Amino acid sequence: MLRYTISLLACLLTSLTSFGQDDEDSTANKKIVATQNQLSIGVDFFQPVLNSFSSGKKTYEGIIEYSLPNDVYLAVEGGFGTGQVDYTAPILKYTTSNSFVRVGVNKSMLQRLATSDWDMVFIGLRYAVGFIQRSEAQYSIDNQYFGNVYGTIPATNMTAHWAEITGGMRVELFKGLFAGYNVRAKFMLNPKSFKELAPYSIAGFGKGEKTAVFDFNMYLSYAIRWNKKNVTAPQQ
Amino acid sequence: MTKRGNHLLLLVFIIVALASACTQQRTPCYDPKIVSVAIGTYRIVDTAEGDTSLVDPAFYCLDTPLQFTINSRNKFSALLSPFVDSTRWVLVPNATRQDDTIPDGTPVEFYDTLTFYHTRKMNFVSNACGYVYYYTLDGVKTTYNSLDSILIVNPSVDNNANTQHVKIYY
Repeated sequence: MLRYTISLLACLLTSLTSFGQDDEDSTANKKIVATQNQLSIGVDFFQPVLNSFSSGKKTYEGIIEYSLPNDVYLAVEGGFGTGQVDYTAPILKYTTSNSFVRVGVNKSMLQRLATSDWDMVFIGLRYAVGFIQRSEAQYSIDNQYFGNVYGTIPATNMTAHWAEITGGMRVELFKGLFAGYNVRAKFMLNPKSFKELAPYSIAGFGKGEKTAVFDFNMYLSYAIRWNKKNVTAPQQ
Repeated sequence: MTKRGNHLLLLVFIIVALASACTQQRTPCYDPKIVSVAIGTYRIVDTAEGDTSLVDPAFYCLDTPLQFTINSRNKFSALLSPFVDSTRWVLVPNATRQDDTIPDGTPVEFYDTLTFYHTRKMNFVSNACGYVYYYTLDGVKTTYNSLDSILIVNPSVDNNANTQHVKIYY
């Protein structure tokens, strides 16, 4: 867990350092604030690429971000996915499907260059919940001396709760069209719920048998803006 | 914008390269899956207890279709049945004496049969490793042809290889 956190902080610090140098000269003594509200809707365009490399799990997810005062953004993320385990020797076969929702905030660490500058490097926090359906699982316990044991575990529904520390960036490629990424350190809050059979993959979280996961997303999003105001506040 | 765009592009290339190297296969099982009763042999000398090495020990199970023998001087591991609630093992302290007889021709019974009584509980290790049975030793019954006494010191038998479960005194 500590390793993940250190990696995430190192990544964020690297980004912040490089961007901070750009901003020092141009902002002078003014703090430029947003003159519009922004609502952006995006999808993780990289998950389908990862899905194509993985036969056992599929995940699809999207994000909605809404600008709040002080360069804080409300983030609501959601998605769904499936997982399939089909192992032999020993046998372990089952499928899972789940949906998830994450809610949290991002705080932009990048000073605006202009009121229309919505690029950002941010850090954030999330709370997430996933609703998992697991099929009946077939298993074997192989024993070369006494003989193999075969059995099934009934299908069940489970709920996963996890928290995330996240960071990343958004860059406005064209007017309203953003690309960006999130890196995430995820921490399962109720790992004991999966003692009987931890799902191989929980969409939105990752490997269900891990209590801490390091992950990333790459988003393409489109933003709409309104409430145009001409406000420029001096820096304190 | 240009600098930020380059930054993003570089990250995309790195991640694509990493993803390309990944294909989902069953992860190798790195967790220990052998669950056995760890047994040590001891001798009480005065008030102290010390390991005792048997001369030429043999240790084998009576309940498996496949018979196998584990040879060690003073440490043995007994596997337990995943199907029934007791498992019998035979401990021969000196296998070279198997032909010994008393003068009338009756073979000397110098080996002991240990019957472990246990309950089992299925335990999920990981998707890579699957399940194993952990056991709780409820008791052990033995003959006393060679050994003096037997003691369960830890009834929980799991995949911890550093735990000793049973002590046998000669």
